[in-house]
Amino acid sequence: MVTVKEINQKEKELRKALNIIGIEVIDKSNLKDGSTASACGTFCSPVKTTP
Amino acid sequence: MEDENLKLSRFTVTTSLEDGRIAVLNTHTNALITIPKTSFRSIVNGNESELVNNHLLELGILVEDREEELEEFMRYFYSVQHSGHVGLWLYLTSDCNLGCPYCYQGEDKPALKISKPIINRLITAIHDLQSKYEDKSLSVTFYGGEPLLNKEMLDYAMDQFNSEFSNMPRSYFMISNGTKIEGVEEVIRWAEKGLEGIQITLDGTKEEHDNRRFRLDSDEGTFDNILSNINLIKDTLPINIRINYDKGNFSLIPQVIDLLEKTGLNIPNITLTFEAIFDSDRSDYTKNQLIITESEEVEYLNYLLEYATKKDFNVAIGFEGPCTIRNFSGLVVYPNGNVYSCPGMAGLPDYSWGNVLSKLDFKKQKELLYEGIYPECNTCPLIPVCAGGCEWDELVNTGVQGRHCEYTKLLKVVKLSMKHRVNNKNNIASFIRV
Repeated sequence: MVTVKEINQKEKELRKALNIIGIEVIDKSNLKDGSTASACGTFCSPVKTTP
Repeated sequence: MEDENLKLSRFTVTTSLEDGRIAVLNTHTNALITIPKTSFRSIVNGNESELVNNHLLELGILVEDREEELEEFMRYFYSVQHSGHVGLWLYLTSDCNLGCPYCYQGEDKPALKISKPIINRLITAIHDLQSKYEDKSLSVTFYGGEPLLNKEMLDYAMDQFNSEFSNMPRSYFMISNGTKIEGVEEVIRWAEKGLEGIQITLDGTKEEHDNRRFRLDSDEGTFDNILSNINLIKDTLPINIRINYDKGNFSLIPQVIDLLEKTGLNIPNITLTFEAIFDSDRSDYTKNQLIITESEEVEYLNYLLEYATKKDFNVAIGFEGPCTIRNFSGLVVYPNGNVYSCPGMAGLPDYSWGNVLSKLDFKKQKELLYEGIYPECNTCPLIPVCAGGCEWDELVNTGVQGRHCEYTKLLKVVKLSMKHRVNNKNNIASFIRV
């Protein structure tokens, strides 16, 4: 079982590794299985802000 | 540890930023990173540590096999086209109280109103569509004409949907001209029933708006009425203020944004969107020569987004397609019960595939909806935000429904959205994608 402490440690290591190269993650993947686009840009734009 | 087997995703768009960094977007996963130019090549070649490579794999920026990535996307796209997630555009009435000259539905609108029997039969049709799927949801956009000319059916539809589809996620959104809101109480009631947002249009300064969005019965302008109603409901419901632009009103839009700011509308519940006015099969707006060119559209959009974000407004960028026309569980229902797959095509007899009161013709639906990705799009990084483009736009431009590629413009808009997402992390809406 992975502990919270281990998860935090891994995240810390990842942040450090990304910082060394200078990568900034603006948005993570937010793919949803089977989600449906029910609107389109021509008629109706989304009002939800970026998660 | 170097990993020569890693490749940049086929759904990658990159753009240079003002500070010398590069923004990298995966259009399928929506992951967005920035990176110094000097590190970019190293990343593309998988030359970084296992920790970093694994994270980039997780984001979808790197992949192990680009062919497998395409196959996986095709499977994903199929699952989006065939699912229990019903996207419904419900035309509460085709009637409208305004006479906007650029309206894509034309000036001569029939005064049809949706009725209880049609909503009841529609519920049966939605149950039928969802019956073979385990995961189900319902996403409804109420529109018209002016949907608030039929408030009784707005309440009835939400009540019935909440009762009949109580076991699945539901979301409701409305497109309204904003003139028929009569007190905050009714908006509170709709919000309690699940209405999550409303799109209301303002088209310029009071003078310019009133020249474009006036009442049919009196020619009276609507600017003051709409702005007053936006203020009335701004704390109750998220509002998307849509501003349509063309050569005639573009220069006046900053004044509107200034006015909205002075009115105190740069708040979390308000989002601004800017849309270029387009031609349709039922309007002849191109005749007045005000419609802007493709390059002007992107230039103007960039200017307006920057202007609005400087004033602390939330902004959103909407892209054309994919929408219900690519979704076999997508329904556009006209007030008489006729069913379509595109809001733009609603009302055009050739594009109806049945009526909820009689029969849905799934053979006709299959003729109208293209299954999968058009072969010409297979190598395009923009498939996830476009899926072949607006088929109604193709119909308007060529007379034949089908793939409508606007790659050059769309790429510019996607890059624009990337820059704005980087610069304004908390106040730009994500775009619609597959």
